[in-house]
Amino acid sequence: MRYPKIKSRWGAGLLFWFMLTAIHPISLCLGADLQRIEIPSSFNPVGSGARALGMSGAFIAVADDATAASWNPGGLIQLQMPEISVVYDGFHRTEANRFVRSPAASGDESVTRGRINYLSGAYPFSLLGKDMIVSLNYQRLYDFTRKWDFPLVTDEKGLFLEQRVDYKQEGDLSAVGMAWSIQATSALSFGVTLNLWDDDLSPNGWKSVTVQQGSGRDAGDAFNVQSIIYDRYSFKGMNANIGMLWIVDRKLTVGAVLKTPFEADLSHTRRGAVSVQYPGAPEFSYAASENSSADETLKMPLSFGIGAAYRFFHNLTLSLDLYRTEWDDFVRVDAHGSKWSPITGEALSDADIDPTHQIRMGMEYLWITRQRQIIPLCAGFFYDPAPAPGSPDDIFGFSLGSGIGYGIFHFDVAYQYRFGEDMGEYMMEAAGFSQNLKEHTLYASMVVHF
Amino acid sequence: MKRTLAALFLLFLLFFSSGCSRSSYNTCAEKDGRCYGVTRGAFLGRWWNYFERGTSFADGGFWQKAEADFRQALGQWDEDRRRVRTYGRHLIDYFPHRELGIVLFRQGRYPEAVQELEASLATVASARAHFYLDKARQARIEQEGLDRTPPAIRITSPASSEIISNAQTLTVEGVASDDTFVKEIRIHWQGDAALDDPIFVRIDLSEPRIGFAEEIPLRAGENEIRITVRDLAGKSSIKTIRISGDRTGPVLSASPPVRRPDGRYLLNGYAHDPSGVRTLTINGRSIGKTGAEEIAIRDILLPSHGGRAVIEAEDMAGNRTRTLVDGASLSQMEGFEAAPLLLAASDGAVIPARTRGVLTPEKRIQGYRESAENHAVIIGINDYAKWPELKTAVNDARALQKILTTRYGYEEEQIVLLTDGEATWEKILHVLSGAAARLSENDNLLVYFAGHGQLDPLTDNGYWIPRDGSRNDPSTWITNTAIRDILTNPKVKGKNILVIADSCYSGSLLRQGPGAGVAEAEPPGPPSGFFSFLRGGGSVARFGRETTDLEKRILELARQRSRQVISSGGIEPVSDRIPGAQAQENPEHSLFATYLLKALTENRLRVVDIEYLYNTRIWKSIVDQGGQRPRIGRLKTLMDADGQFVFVQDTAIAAGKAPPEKDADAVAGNTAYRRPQLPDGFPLDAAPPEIRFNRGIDGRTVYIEQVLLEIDVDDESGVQSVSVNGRKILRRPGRYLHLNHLAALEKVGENRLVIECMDQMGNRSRQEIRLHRKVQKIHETGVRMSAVPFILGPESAAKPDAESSQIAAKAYLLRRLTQCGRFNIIDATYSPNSLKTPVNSTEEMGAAMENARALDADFLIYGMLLTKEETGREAGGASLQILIDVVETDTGERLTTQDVYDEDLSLANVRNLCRGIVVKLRDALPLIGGQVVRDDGNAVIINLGESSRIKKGMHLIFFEEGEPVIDPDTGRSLGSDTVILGEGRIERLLPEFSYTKPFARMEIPGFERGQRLVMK
Repeated sequence: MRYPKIKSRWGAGLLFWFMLTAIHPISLCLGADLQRIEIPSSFNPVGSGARALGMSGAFIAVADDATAASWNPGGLIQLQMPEISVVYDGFHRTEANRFVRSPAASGDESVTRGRINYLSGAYPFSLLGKDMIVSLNYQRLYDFTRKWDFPLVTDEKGLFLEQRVDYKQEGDLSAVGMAWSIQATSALSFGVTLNLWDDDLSPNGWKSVTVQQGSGRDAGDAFNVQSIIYDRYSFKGMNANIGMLWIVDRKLTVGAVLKTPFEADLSHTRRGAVSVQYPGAPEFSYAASENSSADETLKMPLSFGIGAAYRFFHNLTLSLDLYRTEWDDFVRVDAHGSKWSPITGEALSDADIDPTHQIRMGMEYLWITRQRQIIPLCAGFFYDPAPAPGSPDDIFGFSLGSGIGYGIFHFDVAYQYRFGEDMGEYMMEAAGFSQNLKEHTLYASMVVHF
Repeated sequence: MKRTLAALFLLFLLFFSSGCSRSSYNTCAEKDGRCYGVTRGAFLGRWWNYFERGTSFADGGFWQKAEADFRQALGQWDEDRRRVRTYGRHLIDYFPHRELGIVLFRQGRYPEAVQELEASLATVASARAHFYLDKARQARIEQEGLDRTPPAIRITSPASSEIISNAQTLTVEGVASDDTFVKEIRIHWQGDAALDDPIFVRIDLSEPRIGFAEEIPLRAGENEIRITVRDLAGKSSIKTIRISGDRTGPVLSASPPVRRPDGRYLLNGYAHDPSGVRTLTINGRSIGKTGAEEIAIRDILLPSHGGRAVIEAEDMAGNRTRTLVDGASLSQMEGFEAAPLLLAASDGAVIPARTRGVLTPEKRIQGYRESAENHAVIIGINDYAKWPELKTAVNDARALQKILTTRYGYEEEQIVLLTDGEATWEKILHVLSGAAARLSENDNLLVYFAGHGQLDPLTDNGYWIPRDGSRNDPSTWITNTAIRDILTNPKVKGKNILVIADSCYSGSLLRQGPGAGVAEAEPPGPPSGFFSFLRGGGSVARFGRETTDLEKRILELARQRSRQVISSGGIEPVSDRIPGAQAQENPEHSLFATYLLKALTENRLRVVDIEYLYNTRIWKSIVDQGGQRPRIGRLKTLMDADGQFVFVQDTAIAAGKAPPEKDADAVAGNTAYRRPQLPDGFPLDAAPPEIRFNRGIDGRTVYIEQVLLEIDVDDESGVQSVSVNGRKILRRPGRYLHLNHLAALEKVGENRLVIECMDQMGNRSRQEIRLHRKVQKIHETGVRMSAVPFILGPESAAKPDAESSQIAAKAYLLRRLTQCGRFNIIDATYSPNSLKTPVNSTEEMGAAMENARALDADFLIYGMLLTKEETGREAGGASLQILIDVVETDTGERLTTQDVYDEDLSLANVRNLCRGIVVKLRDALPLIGGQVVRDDGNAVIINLGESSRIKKGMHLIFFEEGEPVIDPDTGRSLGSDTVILGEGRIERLLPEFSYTKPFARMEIPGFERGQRLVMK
């Protein structure tokens, strides 16, 4: 028995559904809003360097090596001699997805990746009677790597569809920065880093590919469906980090940093194709494709932090950083001028996003051997919430770091573990979705003193 | 955007390549074209910035600015410390107190300088702080006149300043104190090491009171150890310790026991040791008074001993001698005189009347002259090599020679005159024995000696001192025994022999000595008995007999054998001159010679015997001068038949005519020494001493540094000297000697020990032994800490003298490191690389470590010679700091860091610095032994910990003693080799023990508790 009307209605509906919702798999699942931007990594990137991250990133008031520009450009002035640095990181992220209403889709999805995280060179000099320093930096801040592969079963209103969804996303947002710091008084220094986010200069974009293959029954008639959607985003913008360092006394230093909000141009390109085949009713089979592009705007929020470091002994330092990021100002403006929340994908007016506050605490102990080798021992923990409607998702973590310094070479490694539970419910609320996050990151950095 | 970025990048490159730009706070203070008061990087007002800038100001001599900066630095961080983090991962050595102290010192503010330097040393020691604190203290002491007394030295060990020891080394312990500060303690010793290479007691910093304990090597013989202590103000004190290094056991001289009629045995001999004989036992029974230099052995052995006696003696230094004498060989010695030797009574009653002089007819005189030849050996010594010069001895001898030839018919060729350089030990004995040997049955011999004499106060044996005799070595003297042996020997056929000795203690010839006898007749003071008859009215006419009868009787006495002795004195010193006014009249002769010569010259009798002449013309004249009492007597021997030595005068002379003048040249010609042509059977004792010793060790391999030689020496005429490798070990001549001597094996490898003996006749014998000395494996150079030295110097010397000092220091330092006995230096080539700054040294160290690992060395000795121009000194100059790290190559573990510092760059002081740094290294890495406490397989616990000063990373050797090498003759151990069981590394240190990780372990189940070990 056939139901052409129904077939016709659902056939067109399927095409539309595939064409418009294949931005990301979560959208696939629920036909959710298209304006979401998935950021699997931390929403709150801080600075770089294995030493600093071994202290869990509590480095605003320390900021005394070649990575200072990424933490607090005001601390750069502490470098009395030129230094260069290179940082590499590798992570393994596991997302344990849970679909209450589609249990077959539940499961662990994980990705592993490694790449250069940071490069910098800093050079102190004196000009017009003032000590200052310049630094050139490259830093990768956001990571978009995500890879999901899961079965999806839909059984709704006479339409039964069983398909396999293969979704991959990768890309980065990075900045090339030029930092400058000046000694204002013997106790106070300022600095600024000008960050260029340009896909032409450094990786600033991401892409995703979604492949869906499945079969089902439409009013009793079997059909096969297949689609492939490719999206590419390119990001371009510029902002500044402004920092300050105050040497209160020989033991206590206080730092502050402000990362200015900025509007980035987001260029979106899509290519897609979909086909639905009814073997028993070829007249209902059809195929479609789409090529489109759009220029949008992404408004990045203001972020600022304050930190304090206390040097109990010459070789033992404790530090504490607090950060606030105004995620309620994180806005995606489409080509039509409509404003969306990139977090929820809802209209900005409907999104209930609050600012987040990070807390980072760390310590560094230097074991200085009699042969002048420096063996650091770093540790710390942090609270790094992800913005979410209502209240942020809680993410915690800790880190451990060590290394060896010998002569002008200082090699550090740090391990960081981030974890969160029952996150992202807002993403697929109807599917009863939530996820647990486990992320292991290993940082390795080399700083050379000249 | 790209253009923006490119512009930023170019801007950055422009800055980066624009060169170093100094901080705005680095206000350059110029001096001599150089810029001071600058820092290498930006000046941020941090403590390390102030410290660096202050150091720069101080380098330029801007004391006040430097002081201000150091005080600023101290205001922020007030603790001197090495390797302090400044920012990031940057380290500096931070010494604000020290540098402030130096700046204050330069400004003459000594009390403040002392305070700051002491504050620096309270937290971290540095050679530079030590150096300047001493200087500041010294300046303060001089400024305030605080030093009043020189340092005091108290020696706690040894307990006495004059001791005897048989040890190889002596630990000198004591305390030096001063009312200010003790700066230097030096210990010189007069041994094999030269006095110019003393031990410097390690003093890093002067202190009011410093204890010291140093081990000093001792040599055999006299050792003088001089401890010199100097205080900061320059006052010094000296204390001297004299150690007699005695490694020779007591000499045992014992003849084989003589069997007596009652079946018991009589043992005669003596034990002698210069240090004193502590114990003496015969067959286990203690005899004699201990502590004496010589103990006589006169012991009766029970028949049960069978004539065997085991004699053991130990001297005060602990050396022992043991010997066995056996009466079984007595059959050859039956003639040995066992009974006490008889002395003639000193009163004239025992002297037969027939021995007194009478006159004979001329015919008899002629007959006597034709039948007898007169010989003389005349010795006179003024010019001694090691004794005080005499004035009259040679004149006395020559005058006697002249009288004998001119008045008494002695032929010149029959007189041997030995004076000064000719009168050596050897020549005297040869001439004497030769002259004695040539005597025929009717010949007479007169022996005259004028020179120094000596007396052994313990044995009462006397000596003539030859020209080459030493001051305190009797073996270089001529013993009375030797003289007696020659003159009383049955082979000497001469009729009458007269010995006239004009020397100190010459009366000892007339006293009993070991194995010899004399009969002494000393004229009593006032005439009595026979003498009163003889001397009566002072003229022979008073005899009331015809002179010819007397001559006849005297000549009869002359035909009987005699062995007579006249000494110028008794057992006392005698005068070399005539005392009082008479010295002016005849200053060329001694008191005794004056009257002897006068008696011979003024004699008017044709025939006169010596006793008459002595009794009537000599004795009283001398005694009347006071103090000196000549003696006359006879040697107790079968060769003396109570005859008389007779002088027969030419008839004309006796009648009062002047003697004919002799040609002076002929007289002089007689002084030449002519070696006697000895007939067969001479010398009297032709056999050299017989040497026996523990020969079984010959060719052996030993592991000890000294070996005990047990030596027996016999000689018929007496052993005069015994030496081992040229070092005399015999102080007391004797016939049957037993000596123990610890002979040093001075080198690793083959050692030759040459034993040489000489008897009193000059016969020599020689024995040689070869021993191969090996070092125990654990002490071989190859198992020491293998190390590669890597010494860096500054890029360029601040001053020319600094450069030369640096070159000298490098070479000398390497030599010291090689010789110090702690390292096996496997590559002594040092890098000529320059050292830009100490901070950059870590790079050089990395390269050096790679090099050391490539050479498979256990350790790297990483040294830096840091010279720096020092401004503000009165004369200007530079300083030298030697900084050395010892680093384990495998782990990079730094075992120790030591440094020395000085501003005196003289070559001598640079050497002292090198010595000092090596001493510090040796102190820091002690060579000590220990034992295994427990072996857990992976870890071995040993009983050495931090308190033993060992360090983590040090290597050690586990070993056990091998089979000992035994001397087959004595049964004594000659040492043993060691077997190395494995090596290990100190992994974890605790105060009293430590954990070690064994490696290179031999295939053994495990180390046992108590297993021995030694640090590498």
